[in-house]
Amino acid sequence: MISGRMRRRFRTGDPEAVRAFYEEFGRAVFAVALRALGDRGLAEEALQQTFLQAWQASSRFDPDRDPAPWLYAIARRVAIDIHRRERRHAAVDEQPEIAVLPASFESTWELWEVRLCLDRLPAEERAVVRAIHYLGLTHREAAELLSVPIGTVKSRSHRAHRRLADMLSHLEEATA
Amino acid sequence: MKCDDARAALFARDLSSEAEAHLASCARCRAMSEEIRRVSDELDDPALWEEPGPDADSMVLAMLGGGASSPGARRSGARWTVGAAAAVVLVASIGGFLLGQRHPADWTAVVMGSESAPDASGVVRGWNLATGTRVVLESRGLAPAPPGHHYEFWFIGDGMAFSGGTFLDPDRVELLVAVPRRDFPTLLVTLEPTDGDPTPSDVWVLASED
Ligand SMILES: [Zn+2]
Repeated sequence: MISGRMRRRFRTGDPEAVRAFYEEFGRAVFAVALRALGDRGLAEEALQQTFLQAWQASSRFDPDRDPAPWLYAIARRVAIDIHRRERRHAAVDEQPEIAVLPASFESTWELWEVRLCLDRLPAEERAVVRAIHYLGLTHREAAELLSVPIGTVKSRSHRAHRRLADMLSHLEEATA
Repeated sequence: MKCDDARAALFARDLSSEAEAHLASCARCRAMSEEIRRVSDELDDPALWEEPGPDADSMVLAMLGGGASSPGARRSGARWTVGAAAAVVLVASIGGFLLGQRHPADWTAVVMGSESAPDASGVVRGWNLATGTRVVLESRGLAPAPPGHHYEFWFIGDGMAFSGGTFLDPDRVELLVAVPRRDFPTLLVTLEPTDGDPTPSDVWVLASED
């Protein structure tokens, strides 16, 4: 988590604080951009632009507030700009200003929250969640992949999903 | 079984008969089960798990002040390291951005002061990059932005404005715009109140002549 001291240093544009923000939020920015734009190259461009813009706007950042929604808003706007630029280059006849964003831009906030939560899991628990969900492995296969007993996979999976479910219930309360 | 345990089992798609019995009898968990299944599906999305390439990492970190973070500051399992090989790629891929003025600009444009800054003028030089445009603005006759305000640089074309970023001192600034210049012929510098409005203000201080 980003400390209050680091948030105040970010406000002054301190590169070390901006790097701390990058380490905390970089993957979530990339996940949102990749979901929205569906292209790794464009998502990497969005990642760079987001942190450049965040850095340039750091003097307008309020250090008393959670930086996550602020950075998410920048990331989303950057992704929208890139999406529109790509559409222009694809020589689409529609007017960009009346165009609706594609469905890939929906629920990116939830994706952002889930990615931040994954980042906060212990690495060995995150590896189990990745094996089960992303790789689609059974517990036994995950145990082989990670070279740990199947009981360890089960207990790590349980702990990780308990944490994720806990985060989810906080999300529920926040949006209720 | 506790609610948390039952929800974790549902989330992990590892339902024991005990967990199923809890979900069947607990109204609160049942109310959440749809949401849990949805987020469980979300965890399958590759976008959540793919990592940016090392070039993207090192470019961002170099842009933000250079160098790798200290090993102590890096989280375990994190992969945000900067290596020498990556740094070479970085220099090759963004050209002049880190090298100052070594490469000649791809284009140069004059910007003139508008009604709100009749004595101001400036030169904008641009480098076309694969990922947009690097811009250097040098101006004369403009004071630093007053309190509560900042300057903002824009590419304008076809009713669309793309910001290249904000700054306080307009004498010499280096900016990145996320789009190529060819689609946005007009260059604009505005004075913006710090109000969070993402669109250009009406106070134009410098504009290209076209
Ligand atoms: Zn329950």
